[in-house]
Amino acid sequence: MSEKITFKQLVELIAKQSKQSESSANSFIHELVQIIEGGLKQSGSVSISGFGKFELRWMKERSGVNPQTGDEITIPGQNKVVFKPYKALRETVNKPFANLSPEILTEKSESRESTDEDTEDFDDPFGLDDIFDSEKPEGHDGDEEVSNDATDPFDFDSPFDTDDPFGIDKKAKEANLSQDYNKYIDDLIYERENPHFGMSESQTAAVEQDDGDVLVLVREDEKDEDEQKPKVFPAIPDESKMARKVQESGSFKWSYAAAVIIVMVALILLFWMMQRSGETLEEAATTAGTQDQTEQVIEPSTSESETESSADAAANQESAAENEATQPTVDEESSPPPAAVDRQAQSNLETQSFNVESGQSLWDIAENELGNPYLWPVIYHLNQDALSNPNQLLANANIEIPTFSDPDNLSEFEREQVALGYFSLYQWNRENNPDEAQYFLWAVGVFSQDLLDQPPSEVDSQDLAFAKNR
Amino acid sequence: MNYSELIEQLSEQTGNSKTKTKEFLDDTITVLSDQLSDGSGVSIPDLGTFQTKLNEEKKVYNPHYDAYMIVPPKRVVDFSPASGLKEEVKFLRTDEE
Repeated sequence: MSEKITFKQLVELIAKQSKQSESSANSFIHELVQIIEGGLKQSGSVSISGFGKFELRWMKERSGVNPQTGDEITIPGQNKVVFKPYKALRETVNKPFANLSPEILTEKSESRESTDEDTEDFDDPFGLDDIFDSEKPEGHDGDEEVSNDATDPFDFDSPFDTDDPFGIDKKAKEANLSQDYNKYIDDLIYERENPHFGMSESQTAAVEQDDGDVLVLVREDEKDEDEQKPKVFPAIPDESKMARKVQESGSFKWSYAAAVIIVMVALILLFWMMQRSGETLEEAATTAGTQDQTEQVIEPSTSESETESSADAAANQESAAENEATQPTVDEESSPPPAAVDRQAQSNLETQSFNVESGQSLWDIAENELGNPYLWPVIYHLNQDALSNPNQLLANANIEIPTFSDPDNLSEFEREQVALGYFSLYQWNRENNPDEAQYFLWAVGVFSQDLLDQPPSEVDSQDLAFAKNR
Repeated sequence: MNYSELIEQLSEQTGNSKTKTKEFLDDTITVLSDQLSDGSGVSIPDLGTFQTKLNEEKKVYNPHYDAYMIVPPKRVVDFSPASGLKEEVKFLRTDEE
């Protein structure tokens, strides 16, 4: 098949065919070649209808091995001239085998084992194999053309199998009957197979003359992957990939695995976000921690900036108000009536004025000034009018703090005051934070059982039961 | 460059009319195709060699059906460009890139 005709013979043939002189045919071909070359340089592709298309394809830089020295070298990116025969040419060239078509093998298990077969990956977008499997094609226009089963060109076993496996001899006889149908089938085959043909044959190694003096060994399939037009030629998966694919029972499992992973990630994210939001709430609510006394924590760090900014605004007012040092100056809740004096009288507690620093909480103040952080509700109780929220303090606000002589050994009266503080906290939490409220009521009982037995105002029965039974 | 552009340039070069050039080109193509389908290779100086190549029958794996199938032999056109042409275009930048 490799016999060649000389250029001279070709010119003669063309001259004969076109009824021109040989010299004009000769010059014509030379012009043609020049123009093809020029067209390739200019636009990268030259298309000759009915024949094929010459194209430049850019090969990316890749690494290869010098077969003489075994050194690894880098082959620079370069253009390659490729010729893509059009359908008419493909068909004429493939005429001897035109009536053959792929046959699917049914024994899967056996074929699964032979993984070292030359395997190639392609889809079957046209459902070709349905046609070959069931001899009777379905669902396309060519149905009536193959209705005569006797000459069914796709039945490999009956018409030509034994001595003439490719049916070359019978081709002529069969040709007329099955030509139309073959054409149809071939179209499909061409569409699908052609990209792979001519590549797989010498997949292992190809020696290519590259830089003129360096011989380079390149894997064929690597070259194909390097090619720049994946839309034209689907990339051929390399052999290791193929082997893996064959060993697994099916590629669809990947999609299941992917779906499971995605769902899991989504769940984890959701859970994390819920945790996050919970945490930030907690952060806002608790800084000093809720120990066994189940106190709620006091100054949220998040409110600091807010309080600081308002502190500036409050500064002016403060300078005026500082003279009457007994009452708290809070800017937003601007005009609380100075009830501190009354309260002082009520409680009969010795108090002193205290200027809140930025970042301090009632818990901190109680710890620093009173010596026991668990006494902080007293401070809240004394400053109830100024503090709308026990968990929020304004920086630079003046508050009243009691002075306990001995924080570790509180008198009966002092204990009662602390219990009252917890009770007012209970009331506040009842309104704003019902879930936590019962713990404050329980704390009331810890400091003063009497107060719990006779609560100053109405108490939720469930909370009371909880506080008493704990 | 498409077919009509090719013919246009060819006719300019040769000084023939477009229809005549087209006929000539078609004849050339017919001869080439005939030679190729007869199985003989054609070598055109400065352009390259057209040959046919037989792809043997082989067994391939069809993942769609999870089965192997036999692909029949096939004869295809094999073109290898002339070394002169290859070198000319090797490091050329075309609009395509």
